[in-house]
Amino acid sequence: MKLSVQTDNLRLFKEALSSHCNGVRLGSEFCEQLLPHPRELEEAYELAHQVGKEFTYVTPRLSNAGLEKLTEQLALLNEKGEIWVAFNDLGALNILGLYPNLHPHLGRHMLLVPARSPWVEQHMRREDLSSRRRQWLRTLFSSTSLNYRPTIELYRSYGCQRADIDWLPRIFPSLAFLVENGLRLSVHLHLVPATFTRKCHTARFLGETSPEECSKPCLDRAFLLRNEAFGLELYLHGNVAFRLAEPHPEAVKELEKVGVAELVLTMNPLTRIDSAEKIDNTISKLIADES
Amino acid sequence: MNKPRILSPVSSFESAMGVVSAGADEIYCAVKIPGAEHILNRPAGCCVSTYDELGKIARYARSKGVETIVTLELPFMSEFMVEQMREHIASCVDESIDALIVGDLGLMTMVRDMGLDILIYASTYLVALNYEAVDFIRKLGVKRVILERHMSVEEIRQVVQRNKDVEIEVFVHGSGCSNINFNCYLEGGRRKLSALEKEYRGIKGLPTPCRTPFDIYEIGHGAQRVARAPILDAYTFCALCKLPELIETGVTGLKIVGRCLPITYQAKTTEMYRKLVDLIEEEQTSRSRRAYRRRITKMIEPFKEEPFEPILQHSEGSASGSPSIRETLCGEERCYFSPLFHVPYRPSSRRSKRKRSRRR
Repeated sequence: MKLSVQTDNLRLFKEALSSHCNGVRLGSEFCEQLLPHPRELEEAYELAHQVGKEFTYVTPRLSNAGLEKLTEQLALLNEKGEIWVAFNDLGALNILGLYPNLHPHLGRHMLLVPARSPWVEQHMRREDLSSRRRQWLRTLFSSTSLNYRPTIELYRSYGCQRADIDWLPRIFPSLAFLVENGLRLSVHLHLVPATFTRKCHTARFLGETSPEECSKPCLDRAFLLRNEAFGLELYLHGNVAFRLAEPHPEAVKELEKVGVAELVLTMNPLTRIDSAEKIDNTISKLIADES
Repeated sequence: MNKPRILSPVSSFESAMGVVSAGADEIYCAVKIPGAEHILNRPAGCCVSTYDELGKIARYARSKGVETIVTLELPFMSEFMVEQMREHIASCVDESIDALIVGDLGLMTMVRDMGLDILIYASTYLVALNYEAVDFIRKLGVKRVILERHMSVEEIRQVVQRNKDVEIEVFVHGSGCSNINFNCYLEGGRRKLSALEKEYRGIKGLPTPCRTPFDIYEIGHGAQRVARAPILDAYTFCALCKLPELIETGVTGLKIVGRCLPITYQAKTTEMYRKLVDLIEEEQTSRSRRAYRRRITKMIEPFKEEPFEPILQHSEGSASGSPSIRETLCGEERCYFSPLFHVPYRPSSRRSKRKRSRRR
């Protein structure tokens, strides 16, 4: 199984290049204020190209203004050669078709995955359900909104052959359906998005005044949030609150069996993976038998 | 002048009668899906109970010149639900409704492939945040797109201008979620009542963690708590003041949220927006732009004195009983379409707010 490293930070991206990962991804799945400067994007692509690692550009949900910035970047990347662009917005998918060298890669934000809910176990323990309803819920929580053939066909008609998904062991068996229907899957380790906003919770908490003038504290700060009333623990990074999912080697083998092609490791203040050494350590713990 | 349609929430025949007589142009509801658990959107209790009742609602609404729109409720589609959803869609359409609100691309394909004579409206669950996303959805045969809540009036204006072949609908009142609906999984948790009530006495309606306080710790800085705050709370509720600007953008529909709220609230809010939209129309045709702006601002003020019931408890309100919109929403600046980082944190309770003001 291959391993890619993803980051929205060019400094960390350069660290990733010297690790043993197979691919590198630059960009944010979540915040358009982190769209890189075209110069940085070009530099990242060139560096990845030089060391022979596959480059993927990751893009977030977008406003009209963000879309205009992205248009400029896509034109630049299209000149470079064949590149995968992970999209998390239907507007981005709509314009990707204009660039013959760029291939759409379905981002995590485009999928509804009921098992991302922090309340799954609570629902499964409900006593007010008949066994038939409980079975219905169990199936729901092991499925994704891509587990419907016409949905995959629609995305494939736009050129999507790859998709991102979360590390949620409950859904792993159902991923075989996605692979059988022609999708190459990448599974994100550690961080499962539980909620996302445009009204960035980190920025508001730290007193930032507007997205355009944001000093981007998320590049090196993150927070643990505990809610006693709901018995909830979340990890806040920028405008996303995640749940933590600890990956383990047995589950990696299960993913290999269902045909998942790639694992994605994120470098950010939450994972605290910030060096090539830490990347390689994580890889060796997870995919020990590969070599 | 563009005169947008007012869309009101309905949860029963009785509530449909209430909002239709209050002036709704369109009503929308969901119907309980047989055999399904409603955990991805609003609870089943917020839905019309049966297809028969939906038929009664649709016939009544039509007799009054009002359109009935059904939201498919589950913004999700998977192979195991195919028969269930096909039957549900067919049963809804059989009841002479006017349109379906669909929140999943697969479901949209299903409705289209069933060959039904029904209009499709794209739900906010498709997260249309920009003009290209709207264009993508339009090409799937959609008549109307309901925009995401987290947009500015200017962004809405740009979307309307660049997408002339599709109707655009926006939310104006009620439940302006802190997070993007489609990407939020926090709803549906069962809270521990006592702990929550203690600190957040005022909150009614759907209990969601985003509206309650969190203990906050900075990663990599030890176990010391940095703060206790409702850090995920960016909740907005009202668009009264923004209504003239919104109407000028050319939007087709103004949606009032509240399928889970009392019938009196549904009707009262509809009546308020009906009156205001009609007044704005009258003013706009009769005065110069400057005078119009002045008059409109003046006109909106009395509406802020209307009672605002669903969120705050009456006992915590003003001397006259129920607190007004001005006291509740304006005080906390719970305004739709305000700048993205602006929404202030909710004070931890009305009681502590009073204590603080006494101290001052």
